Amino acid sequence: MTPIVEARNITKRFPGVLANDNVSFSLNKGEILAFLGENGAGKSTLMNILYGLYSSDEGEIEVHGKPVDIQEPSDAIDLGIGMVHQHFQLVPVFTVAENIVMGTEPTQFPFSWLALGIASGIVALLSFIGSMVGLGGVGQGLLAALAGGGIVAGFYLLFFILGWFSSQKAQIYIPVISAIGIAGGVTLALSQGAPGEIPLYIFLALLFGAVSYPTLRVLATALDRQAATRRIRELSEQYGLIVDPKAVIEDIPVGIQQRVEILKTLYRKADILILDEPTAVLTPQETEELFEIMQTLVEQGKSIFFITHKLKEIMSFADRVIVLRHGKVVGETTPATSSEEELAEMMVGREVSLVVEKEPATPKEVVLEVNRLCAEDDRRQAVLRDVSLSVREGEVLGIAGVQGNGQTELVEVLTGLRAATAGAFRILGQDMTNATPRRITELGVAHIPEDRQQDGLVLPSPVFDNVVLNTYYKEPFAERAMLQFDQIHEYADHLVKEFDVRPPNAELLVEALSGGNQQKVIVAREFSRPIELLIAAQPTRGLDVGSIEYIHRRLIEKRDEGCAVLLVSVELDEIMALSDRIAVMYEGEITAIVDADKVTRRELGLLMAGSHIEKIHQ
Amino acid sequence: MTEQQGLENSFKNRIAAWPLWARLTSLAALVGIAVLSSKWLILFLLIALGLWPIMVLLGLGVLVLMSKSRGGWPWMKDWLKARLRQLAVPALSVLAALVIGGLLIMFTDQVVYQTIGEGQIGKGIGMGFANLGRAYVALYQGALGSPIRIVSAIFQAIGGEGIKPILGAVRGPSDSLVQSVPYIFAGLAVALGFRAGLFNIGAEGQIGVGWLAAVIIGFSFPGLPGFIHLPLAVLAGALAAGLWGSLAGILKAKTGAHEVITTIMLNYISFRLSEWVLCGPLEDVQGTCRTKEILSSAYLPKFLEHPVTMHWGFMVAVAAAAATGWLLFKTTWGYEMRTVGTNPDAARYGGMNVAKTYVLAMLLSGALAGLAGVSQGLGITHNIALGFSAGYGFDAIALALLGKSNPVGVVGASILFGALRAGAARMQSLAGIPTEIVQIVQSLVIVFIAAPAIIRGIYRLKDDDSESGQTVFSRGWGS
Amino acid sequence: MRKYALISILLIALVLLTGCGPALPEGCEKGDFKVGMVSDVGGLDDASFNENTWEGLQRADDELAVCAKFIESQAQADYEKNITEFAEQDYDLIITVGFLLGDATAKMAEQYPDVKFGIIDVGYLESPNLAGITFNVDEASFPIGYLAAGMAVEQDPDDPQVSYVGGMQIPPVEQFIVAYEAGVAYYNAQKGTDVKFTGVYVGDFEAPDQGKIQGNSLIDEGADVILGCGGKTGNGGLAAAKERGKLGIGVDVDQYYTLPNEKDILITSTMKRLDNAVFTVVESLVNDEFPGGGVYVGSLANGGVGLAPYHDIDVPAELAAEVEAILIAVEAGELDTGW
Repeated sequence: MTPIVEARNITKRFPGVLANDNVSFSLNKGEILAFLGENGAGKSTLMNILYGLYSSDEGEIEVHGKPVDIQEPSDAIDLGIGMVHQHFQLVPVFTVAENIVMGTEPTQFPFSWLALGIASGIVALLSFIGSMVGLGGVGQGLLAALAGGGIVAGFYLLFFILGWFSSQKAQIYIPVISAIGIAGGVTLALSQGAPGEIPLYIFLALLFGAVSYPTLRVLATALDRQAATRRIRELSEQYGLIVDPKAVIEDIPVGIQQRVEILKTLYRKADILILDEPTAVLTPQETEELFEIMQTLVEQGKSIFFITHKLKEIMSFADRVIVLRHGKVVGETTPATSSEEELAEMMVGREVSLVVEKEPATPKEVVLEVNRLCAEDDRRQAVLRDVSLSVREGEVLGIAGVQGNGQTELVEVLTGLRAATAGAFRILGQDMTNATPRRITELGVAHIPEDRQQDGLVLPSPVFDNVVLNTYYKEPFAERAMLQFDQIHEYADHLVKEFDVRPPNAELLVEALSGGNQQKVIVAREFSRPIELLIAAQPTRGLDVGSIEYIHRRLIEKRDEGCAVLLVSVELDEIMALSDRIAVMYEGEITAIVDADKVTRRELGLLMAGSHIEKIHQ
Repeated sequence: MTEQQGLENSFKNRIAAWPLWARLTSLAALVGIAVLSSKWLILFLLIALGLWPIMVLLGLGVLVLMSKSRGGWPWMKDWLKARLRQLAVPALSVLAALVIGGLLIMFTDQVVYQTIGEGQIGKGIGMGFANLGRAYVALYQGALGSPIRIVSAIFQAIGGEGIKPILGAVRGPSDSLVQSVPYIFAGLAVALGFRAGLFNIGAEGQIGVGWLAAVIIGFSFPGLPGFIHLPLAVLAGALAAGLWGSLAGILKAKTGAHEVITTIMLNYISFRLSEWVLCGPLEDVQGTCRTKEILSSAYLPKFLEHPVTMHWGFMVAVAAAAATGWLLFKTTWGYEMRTVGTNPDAARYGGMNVAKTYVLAMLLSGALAGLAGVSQGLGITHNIALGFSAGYGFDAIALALLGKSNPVGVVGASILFGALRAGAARMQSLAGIPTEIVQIVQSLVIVFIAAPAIIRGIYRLKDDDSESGQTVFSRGWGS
Repeated sequence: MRKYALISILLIALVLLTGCGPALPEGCEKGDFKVGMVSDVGGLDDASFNENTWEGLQRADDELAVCAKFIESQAQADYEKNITEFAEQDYDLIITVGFLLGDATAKMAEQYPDVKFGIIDVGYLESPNLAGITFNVDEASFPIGYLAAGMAVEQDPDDPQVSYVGGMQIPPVEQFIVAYEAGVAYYNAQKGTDVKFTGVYVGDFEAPDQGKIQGNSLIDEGADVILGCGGKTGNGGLAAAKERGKLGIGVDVDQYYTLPNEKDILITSTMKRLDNAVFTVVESLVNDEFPGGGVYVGSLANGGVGLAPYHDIDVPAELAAEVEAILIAVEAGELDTGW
């Protein structure tokens, strides 16, 4: 059996980076092939090449056994390849059906003699009846009917011709229509002896050419909306993708939006699906549902490329795994014959410890002391209620809790980004309640923000600008308000090397880095100045195992250097692995503070769900 | 490249090694020499602009000489390629816009159609081309002067007729630069706003406020020596406009009111206020709706005699561009503005005072816009009258986009617009082509530069990866 | 590389062609008097003012040995530059339109003593090579104010009201309004009626939408006749009158011809015959009688101002006769127009 997709020796270079280096792979019909790799290993680039978003520098691709040249996504769609991007390409204010149909509006007006006949017949009849009422004589009525029928037939033919033109690409359509219009207009004007009106005709022709194309598409879409909705229903039943075609995108949850994306590819008759990190945005529940859908798809003969860096997912349902590292294929295996540890090692290129090794903590002086702190969220609802806790030198206090129980706001208040409505907190003995972020930073507080792209980085700026985001005004980076770029560059180069930011170039824009390396930039910035207290919120969210391991190691290092660490995470494993003590937050309150080695996963889970510690111990 | 940097650095270091007084004295001496010889420098600049092909050739010659020591032809080829790549899209945009403008000129003339209608198609098309030729020759000469006239004027001057003929011949380049002055200031104002994430639509109003303030100071202090009066008037204009602009910044910082709305509204307030002031309290002669003439001590001096109107405003504008660039990219203030402009959340996280930065940015933006009015008031009109506003503040938005919010780019774009505007009058008077054609050309240039894909498509240029992703110019707008 | 070479060759060729091309054919015959017109920022197609001046120049172009060109100004700062443009091309006469160009014209008249200048709506400048062109529009506005009052009574005897929609509040506009008001007052004094006179200055010559809004609110307050007075803004006021079925009076030119949409509600227009005035000044130059240092004043007597014919509106014969009588009295200086 020939594979349905076969790629050989794909190479893609970006300025300064070799994104794909001689990558070959094949996909069989009805198979789920997973691509595993760290952030920036070249998985997405590879799939984008397959989908025509990038063109490869070298290599060849065969689909259904035939060599193909995929220049742009429309080529890929024609070949039956569909892609669901990590970030959905949906218009929030449109309905599901509109989003699915968008871009595939029937461009060719379906021509049939039957439709022509029926349509013109109806109008002829109407004209005839109308003329009977308005005019005397059957002869006149017949003439009117003929005229009416002729008009309809004419319109129908016009639409057909327009449809044919627009099924050619728009580039041809508009000039052709305009040229015809201009020629007609000029002829008309010259024959009528009104040459002064020629510019008007030319303008009208151009206008018609430019306007008729979108009009036509809208018209055709409207005509086809019913059929489209029907087809979407059929598809969603066939593949178990339950969606309401009439729902508006912004009203439906992310998991359903993803189904819409999948439906979109199916609607375009894709039988090869590319899913780019589909689970990154899903809840565990939704992930389960997605896997079921994928199973159905495969059973019905579709084939799937699946990109991820999560090992568990691969183990549970991929048929085959290809591991990429630094743009190269480093291995191919099946989940059945491999283990998570083995895959992790392949992916990172060295042995990865999935367990954090650490010495017992030796806590000393209290660094952060929070006393009955209260705060409100943006909608003025109380989100922190009398939170009290303390963190000491050389210990990690983990704050566990389901997302949205006030952890975000707690961190914001402690870093000066949100006002406290009551209570107080002291850092190193100084009252810092409602102090400016700068004062708190200057006291020696480091903050790894929860949303690194939103709060922690200036994405369109180079790395060297970002590493001095909160120290830029101090010597040696600035002297009398003048930035000292020599020092900044030197410092940035040093940090990039020390924290192994890849690619190792401080001139690159941060947005060009992968998520893990972006986080490294933040860690590099925050860890490289003298700090007494580290507030880390979701420090490993969205990162691959290699990066997670790295950041965990750094956190523990800081602890061992005598830094107080406040760790906020929704990953229970992370909290358990790193913390010396664990505080559980539930609905804005600290419901329990326990020693990490005296609590089990199950107990923590119950606490996070709102149970009280006394109850559990009973 | 590195070698060049090395050279620059060693030069810098050598200068830096001088004691402070020596550095200051030499700087003062340089400035003094420049000011004293400014007349001749400017004359040379204008002639050079008029004879730019010769200057380009000279530049190439210098390049050849330089390339000798740095690896010969390959180095030069790379250098040229890099420059061409940078300039390809703007230059081709201008070309394409001129071609389309040309079609408009050819095909909006009734006489041409009548001739074609009478069956004389060849003659009609010929007339179209003749129109086009006349129009663009006039446009070129209005903007850059006639090279032949300049050369012959130089020979006349050598022949002992003085510089009078040269002055007449370089009026084109001079007008272009003069016209570009308000564009540069206003463009810088909007660009600085963009950098700080603010969409300052209020430049037009700020221009009026600055103009008015400068003129008031300009006629108010008789007997004041020029070296105090002029800077005072300039600063007053900048300050007044800056404060006016900072109102929008304060409103945004304190109440979150979007600066697009507030600056538009402040525009109206300033328009109506200035109308009242000009036809009311400050009216000089009943029925003229204009202020008194400013005192000559507050004139922005002209470099040369009439008809060359080139004044010191241009130098101030270039200096302002340099200062804006320095502020934005070399100082902590600029760093704060750029950070706030691209990601205010990260700026807050980094301990910056976002509100203060907004106010500061609007203050500076307003001040720059005000300088546009100041340069017009003190340099050209010497008073302020009804109808002073010419849409500089709105064109400035386009200029900032065109210049990618970069001071050097803004200066380049402004000179282009100034030249087109200077040429437009000549085109209208000589060829009878409406000045609106020039506005169409300007708009097309912006369209093409804003959508470089069109130009790349037409001219089959290779895609340049560095360009992509630069479409987002201002986070503040619409967010 | 070849592509770049080709493009650069083309560019250089273009430059050589433009820069070193043959001398320009300017469309003027040798020996013609060259007359240049510099418009104010309103532009040439303002349907009044600038357009009317240009019509006069075109007539001169056709009928006299004169070659006329124009430049539209886009800003206050452009005025001197545009005048310089003509002066440097050795034009014989430069007409500047509007009092906004007063300063620039005075300065340039001094700079180019050999060139003659004519400036419209400015009578206060003195220079041997400069002629002011002004109009006693009040002489025409006063009778029209009377006429409007009469028509308002005709329309709405209970609460007659005459209203104006003005552009900027500047003297050339005020001259109309003041005389209108005096005309209305004169009507009231004569007939013992109480015709109200109201109106607004919009503050802009280029805002037909604002003019229309203000016109509508004046009509809401009871206006029966709208006097449009101020470029496109005034035209907006007339548009409001048309929409609400009220009467209107045009300004500057016979707007029956320039406002085809509103023509059927126009009683008449207060004409300021710029074209006649400009033509006269050009003619005087051709005949070597240029009134340098003097002022050309358009009045009822020399046809410089006047009433447009009553086109579609029936003016009662009695009222028309009274207006005729007032016209004669004003021309003879027997009535004070209030200006």
